[in-house]
Amino acid sequence: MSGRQLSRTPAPAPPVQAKTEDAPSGGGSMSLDPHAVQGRPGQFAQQYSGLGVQLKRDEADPHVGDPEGETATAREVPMNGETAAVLTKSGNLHLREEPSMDGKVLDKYPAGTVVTQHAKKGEWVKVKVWSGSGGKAGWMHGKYLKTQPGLTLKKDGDDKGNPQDYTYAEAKGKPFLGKPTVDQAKQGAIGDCYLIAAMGALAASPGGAKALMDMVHPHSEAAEYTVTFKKEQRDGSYKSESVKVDAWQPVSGGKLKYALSGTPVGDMSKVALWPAIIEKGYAQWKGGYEAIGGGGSPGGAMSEMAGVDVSNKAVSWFSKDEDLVAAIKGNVEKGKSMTAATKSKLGQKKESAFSGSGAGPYTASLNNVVVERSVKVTDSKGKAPTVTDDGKGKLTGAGGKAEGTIDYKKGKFSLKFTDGAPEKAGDLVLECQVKYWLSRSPDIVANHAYVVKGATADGIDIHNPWGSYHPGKVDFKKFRETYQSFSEADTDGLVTA
Amino acid sequence: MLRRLAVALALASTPTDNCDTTVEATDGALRTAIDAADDGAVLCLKPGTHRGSHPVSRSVTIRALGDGVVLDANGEGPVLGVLGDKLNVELHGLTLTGGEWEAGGAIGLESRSTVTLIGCTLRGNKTGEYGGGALFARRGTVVLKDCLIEDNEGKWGGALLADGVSTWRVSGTTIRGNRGARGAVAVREDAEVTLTGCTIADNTVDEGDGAQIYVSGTATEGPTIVLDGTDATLHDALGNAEVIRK
Repeated sequence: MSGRQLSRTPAPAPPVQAKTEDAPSGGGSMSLDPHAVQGRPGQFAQQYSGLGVQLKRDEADPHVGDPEGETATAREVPMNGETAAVLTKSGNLHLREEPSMDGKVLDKYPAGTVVTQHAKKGEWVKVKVWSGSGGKAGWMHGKYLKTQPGLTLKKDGDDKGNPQDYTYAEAKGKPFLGKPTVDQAKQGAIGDCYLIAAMGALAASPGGAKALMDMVHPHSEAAEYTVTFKKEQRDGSYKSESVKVDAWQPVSGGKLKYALSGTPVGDMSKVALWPAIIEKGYAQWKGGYEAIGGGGSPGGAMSEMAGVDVSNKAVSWFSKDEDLVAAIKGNVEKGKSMTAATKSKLGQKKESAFSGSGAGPYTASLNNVVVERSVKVTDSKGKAPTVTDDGKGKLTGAGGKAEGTIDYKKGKFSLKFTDGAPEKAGDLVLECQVKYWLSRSPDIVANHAYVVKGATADGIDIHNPWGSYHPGKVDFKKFRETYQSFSEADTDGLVTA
Repeated sequence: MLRRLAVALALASTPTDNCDTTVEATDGALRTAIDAADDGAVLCLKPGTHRGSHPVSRSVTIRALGDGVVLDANGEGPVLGVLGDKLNVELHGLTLTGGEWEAGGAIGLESRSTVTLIGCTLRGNKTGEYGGGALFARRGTVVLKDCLIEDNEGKWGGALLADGVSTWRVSGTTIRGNRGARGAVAVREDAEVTLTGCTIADNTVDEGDGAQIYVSGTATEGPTIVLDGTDATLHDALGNAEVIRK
């Protein structure tokens, strides 16, 4: 679920308060950013003052902000490829061949178009366009570009020519509709389960929920938010660090792409936007979406959101189930926030996985992504040879008495026996390790972070931050087989703090 | 004078000197010894494989009695987990392997304690979701002296992940053959790392132009890395780290 970033050296959007100016007529409002490419907020605001008609013309073909003569004399200054979004109120922004109003128009792009910025000259920016484009290069007027956290590319993408389906779209709304809930923390197409699980775990405890609500404050009719994280200091205290987050969110096909994935962008009045707002703030703070999508620590994320200490414990440290229950139940009852992380590989043993007869072929489909060199097929009655895989998709029976193939990505097996076939397909037992389940079957995903909601004598109550399937109550045997650790955050002290 | 020296040498070479407890390489023995140890105790491990993942919640020194003392977590968690602040945990002459943990396959330090490894080998440990295939610290201090760190795997830092406000002093240590998406050594947030006379090479790194050290602060601050007699490629993702080469 992770990918590479559009910008090779990601730079976060600046954590500086951006102003919102009202256009005098016909324009409504527009977010201004003092760190926009031209870097002169005073002039930027001034240009919009009393220019209602002109504003409309700007939106269609911005040139008012291009002072006469400046571009001609300005030096071209390299930029490091930061991601930006086209932010026009209406109409399209021209991509020009040269940094000038006289430059040939190569194309035009609507608001939300994702570009990367590679050089600037005066108020013009040399860009590559990625939304629906493979990096088409040209110049855009910097007034209508706003730096955003770099996005992750879709799988197998790169920054050298694959068009992306991402854009930015404005999702204005309230961060909270009442208290935050576990269900609202929903992961999208980015590998930050640790962060979303941490959000869910905080939402599940009174102190954590309070911490979340204290983190996000909307401004300007919810067009912008202040998101405050807690940075630990060397003396053990926590210092607040705030970032300003605008309402523009990564979308694909008109729906939010990352946190709150699948939510249509439009009327957001019934959506609690806090997960997407916090995720974007975290991306800005850490250096882009890709920087936070490359794996992380749920405990660390809880600490950074709530400003409390966290400890991690291995499941194996609890030799008795009752000790495990006591530890988890005690933590939840105290008001601590808890996450759990699964092992990097999960074992699976399945009887009667194969269908077929005689010498074969025997086929099986696990609907799993299977770990290479982990496959073992045995005959419970000892008639057929044991079969293993070579890590490259080939199945071989002991003594060369069977051969076949496995598609690791689809979990599909095909096997023929040349000597010593099983009496029936049901005698074959398949054992392997899986990376994750392709379906939403009631099972656990490897290398993934979950929310721990509680524990009883029957098992551990688990919530999945991704997708709609939640493990629910996981019995102790399965919990020990699949989960490696849990993190507990000291949010119990936040309610009265 | 010569006699005194001879006595001193004899004492130094007596393996069980200064050991509060000698631990056999049998299942559960080390866990039992750690749980029973007094604060500041010295545990001496006999050669062999000491299996399991061990939580440590008091100051303790664990020393190898000769070669071939292996601590193998067997994928059940970190080799050692340090719980509690202001602890001093020292390891001498041990091989730590088979650790698997969210951060710090062999040792993950989340508390404000100090972990010191001298003459240790950390091999074949890994992390799943985060990084520091061998070692991770968010807080506290890590001291590595004359260690070998090889064939570990983690996303952020195939070998080491210095995170948060941790402080690292690494000297005479070789870091090789590890695999990480972002550096063999990853340094994040406000961590301070000093690498003195270390060799960091031949690690497999996917991002950051393959740099052996991957550095990434936040928008407001960057870590500090001192490379003293240590020649290694470095990628500073946000461009705000303080890198001092001596």
